[in-house]
Amino acid sequence: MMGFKKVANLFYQDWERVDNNVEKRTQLVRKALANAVEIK
Amino acid sequence: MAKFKKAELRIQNPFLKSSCYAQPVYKSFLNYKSFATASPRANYAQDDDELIDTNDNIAINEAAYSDKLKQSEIETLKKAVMGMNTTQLGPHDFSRLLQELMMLDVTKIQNDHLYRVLKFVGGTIYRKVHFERSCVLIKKYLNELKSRSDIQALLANPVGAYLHRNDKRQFLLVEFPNIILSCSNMNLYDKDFFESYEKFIAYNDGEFASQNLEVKTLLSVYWSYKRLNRSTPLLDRTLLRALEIQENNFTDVNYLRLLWMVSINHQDYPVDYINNLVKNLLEKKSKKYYYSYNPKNLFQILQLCYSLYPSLLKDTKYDPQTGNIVNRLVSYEEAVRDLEANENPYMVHFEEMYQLFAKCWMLTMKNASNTVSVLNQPKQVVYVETNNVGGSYFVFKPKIVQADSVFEKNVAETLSAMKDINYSTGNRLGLYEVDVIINPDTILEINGQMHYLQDTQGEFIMNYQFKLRYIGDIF
Repeated sequence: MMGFKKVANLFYQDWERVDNNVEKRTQLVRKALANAVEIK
Repeated sequence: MAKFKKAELRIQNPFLKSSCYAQPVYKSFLNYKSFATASPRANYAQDDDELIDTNDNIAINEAAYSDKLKQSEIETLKKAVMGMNTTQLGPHDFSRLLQELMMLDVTKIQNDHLYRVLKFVGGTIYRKVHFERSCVLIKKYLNELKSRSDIQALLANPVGAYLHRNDKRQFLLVEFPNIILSCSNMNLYDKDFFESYEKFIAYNDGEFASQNLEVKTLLSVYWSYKRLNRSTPLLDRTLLRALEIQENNFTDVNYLRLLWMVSINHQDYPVDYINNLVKNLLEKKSKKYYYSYNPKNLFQILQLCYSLYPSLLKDTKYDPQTGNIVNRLVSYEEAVRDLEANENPYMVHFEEMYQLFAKCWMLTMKNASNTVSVLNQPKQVVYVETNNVGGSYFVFKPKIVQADSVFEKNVAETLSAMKDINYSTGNRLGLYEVDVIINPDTILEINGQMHYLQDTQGEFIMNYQFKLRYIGDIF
């Protein structure tokens, strides 16, 4: 059984900046996932 | 007592099945406030454990402001300064008041009234509804306060000010900790105020603080620093000393808060100290006629029991292959076997603590302590134990309802549009809920300002340190 390895964070300020744009929001989520940090 | 029986809603089924909602829900719940510790109180009630209630009425001398502010602005200031005693305003009025306070020229406001506004905004329960705006307001008022020369002098040498300036004692003993606690409530860290207050507590190696500050204040301040992950040996010593000096003033809630905080890094404390705290908590709790399992108490009991007895949740698992989460409490016998094999030093009171944990676990898993929908109306449910023999569920209309934020909904919409991502929301992992699980092994946290610490310049400091440590330990 393996568990969780990483945690990603999305911040409200970043979200607010991209306005209501699906493509940019998707990019932001992908960026957050790419920057996920390992849980120690 | 007769009145209390009329007002309570007795529910036979402990698991709050839908049938129980057919019973009448009393709109008025006046008696509840007298014994339950974390009910949504009057609109401007302060959080019990977080701010010091000075009970002194501070009046605004209108004449002093007449040539500085307009009459309507004076009225606004009055509302905020007297806010703690006001029960007439609702969340919308609070929102309007925040806007009006934001428009005030803060440079024209006296120090006393700046403190009061900080205490009011940081202490009212509505700060949770309008968190971002409250945060902006606190930063504005705090930065103004810091820019004043008399406050700067005080922050530079708080001990000297206490010893030589009688007129500053009220500030140092009451207003200063309130500012720290208001900041902490708003997840704000202000270097100048926090460091200066540490100096004040350090006076005479904490002896002064342990004798002169109330237990409640010390505990709240202690948490304000501990959650910043700051090293707190001095505060530890001060609290330990306060425990000796003011032991008679410690209530079950004080013991619970203290034990919860020290259990986070219990290995740094003597075993006897922890065992003694457990003993005192159980003793004080057993002497209480009413004991409220409100969300705050529930969470702290669960977390402290888990910290001291990690075997309790050893069967809590997440399987990334299937996405299944198992939240299971181990049996008493199994836990004892496991803990004894690991030479757990806190076994003296384990039987009572296991029972307490099991009760809290059941209540949490059944969501009985949270806001539920009753006849399509949000209701708060709290379990209250009576004289340690039986309990009742109390249902009442909450003052505020914390719904999913627009931010969370937007993120969920975006994730559903991303076809290559497999995710699930609203999962409970043992003691905590996580926002999104991205299969197979990633947690995505959606952070509004309420979810992380920042400094007064708006710089991010940290988030979820305890939650991540817990998830890292278990999963």
